[in-house]
Amino acid sequence: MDLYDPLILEYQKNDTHFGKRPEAGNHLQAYNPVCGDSFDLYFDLEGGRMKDVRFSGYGCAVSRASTAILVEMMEGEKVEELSQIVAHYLQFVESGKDGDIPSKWIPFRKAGQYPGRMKCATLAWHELHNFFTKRQ
Amino acid sequence: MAFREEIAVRSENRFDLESIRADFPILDRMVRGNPLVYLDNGASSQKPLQVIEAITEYYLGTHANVHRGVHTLSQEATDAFERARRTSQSFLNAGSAEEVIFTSGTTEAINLVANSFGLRFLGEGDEVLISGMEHHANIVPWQMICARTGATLNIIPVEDDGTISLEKYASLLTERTRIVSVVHVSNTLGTINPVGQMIRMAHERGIPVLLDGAQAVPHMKIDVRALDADFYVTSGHKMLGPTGTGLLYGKMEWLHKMEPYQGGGEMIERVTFEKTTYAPPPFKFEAGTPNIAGFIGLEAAMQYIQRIGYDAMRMQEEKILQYATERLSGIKGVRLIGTAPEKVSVISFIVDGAHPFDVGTILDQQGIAVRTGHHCTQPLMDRYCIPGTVRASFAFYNTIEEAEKLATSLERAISMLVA
Ligand SMILES: Cc1ncc(COP(=O)(O)O)c(C=O)c1O
Repeated sequence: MDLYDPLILEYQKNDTHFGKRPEAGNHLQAYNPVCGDSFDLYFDLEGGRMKDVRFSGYGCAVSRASTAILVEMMEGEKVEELSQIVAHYLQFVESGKDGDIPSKWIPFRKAGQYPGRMKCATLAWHELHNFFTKRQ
Repeated sequence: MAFREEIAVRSENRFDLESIRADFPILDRMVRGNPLVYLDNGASSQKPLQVIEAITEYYLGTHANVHRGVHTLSQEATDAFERARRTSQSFLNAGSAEEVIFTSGTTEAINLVANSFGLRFLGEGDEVLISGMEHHANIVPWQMICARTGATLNIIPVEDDGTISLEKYASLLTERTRIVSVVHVSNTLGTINPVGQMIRMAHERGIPVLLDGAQAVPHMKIDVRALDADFYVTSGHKMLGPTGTGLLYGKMEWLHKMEPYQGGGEMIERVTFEKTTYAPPPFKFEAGTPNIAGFIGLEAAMQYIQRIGYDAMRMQEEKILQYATERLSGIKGVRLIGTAPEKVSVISFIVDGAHPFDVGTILDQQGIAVRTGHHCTQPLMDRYCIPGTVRASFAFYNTIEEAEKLATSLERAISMLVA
């Protein structure tokens, strides 16, 4: 079954950046009322870059993996670039637009094609996207 | 019509599972290359041909608006609609047809009572008593009316096995309790609450009781008079009927005292710009054009249930429940949530190390439809410290083979997810 791609199963267990950081400059909460999945993102902004990114919370394999892969990408990234990457990811997963994308994203688009699972692949990504939109 | 006769003949055999399944054509469809195994009956049941046919025939030959024309079609539609009300009356064993109000579902029925009863009888310091296993539909309307009236919402706690303790219930009935509103059968746990006794205990203190019967009516004969319920509410779509239909039974003495819920056509006696007087119940609570075809379909659903018989339905459901309970609780890593001695055919469970949504998606890949998540009972999930469950809810048209498919597919899901 291609929903549970080895990459998703691997990332759902990835806790490189797992943990709380209440003292962080920024704290976002991504919550899906349909299933109760909930993730917290913590990060600082320094010189236009993301620093000390952490996440905590609980969710299904897909939402946990999609959050872990986002956080991995955030660490040390320039805000401007990250904002574009996030928009690109959402477009890729939700509308199936191709283009130049990291191969790691492909399993998440497949996940989004299962009934009721799109939100799992995009939960934390949307929250960060909203953060960028509000900042502009 | 040969087709109809054929159905009638088939239905005469009391409980012939094969012919019953033939009444539900949707059960023959394939999902993702597998035969559908529909175990989400608690969310909504499937519909037999008899219901679909009744709606189709109504639209093909009878439709007009009700209660407002002198022409033949309008009269026929009104007669059919009011006959559906009398069928509902006898189905619930209400004392009179006027005590049966047609709503769009359980949710609207509870909102109606919360508003019409609440605005009349609730004030500062009064108490409304619900349980910890309520569906959001029996929590939020009361919270809203409490906020407006200054009343307090009290909660009967849920025990570990998913039951209600009558001692704790008794201690929460106070001289300020104005209404008790509890679920007859829990949608998440399957628990059948001791509602007869709960009503007697409330009545000893003069407190009226509303029962949320959304999950009871699909499984058991309801006699609102034997229960002595003040209000009984349910949804048509969970009991083989169409979506957008619901029943609210209310004792006439309350219905007379309550204000209308919505204003509009049909619910009035006389309207002037200065003052409007209202029609008597049930019309006082039925503003606007109702879901006429829906209630004609619901009548067919009630007749279908009466023909099969609750006893026969329950026997089949019990068989499956027993089989599935034994089978699932034997799977390593599976924990059942809700193990009350008195249960309907609902099994909620969690899997160690696997999220309900992931389990649900893998089951769907094998054609098995289950519900995953909090089932609109978030406070109950908090009570068990879990975010949600997987719920298999069986109907009388399900089979032991389907329960076995659930178990084997679940074993496969666990081996995939919990490596
Ligand atoms: C116990 C219970 N109460 C209320 C409801 C709400 O019913 P409806 O959505 O049909 O209004 C449901 C449906 O899930 C239920 O199971």
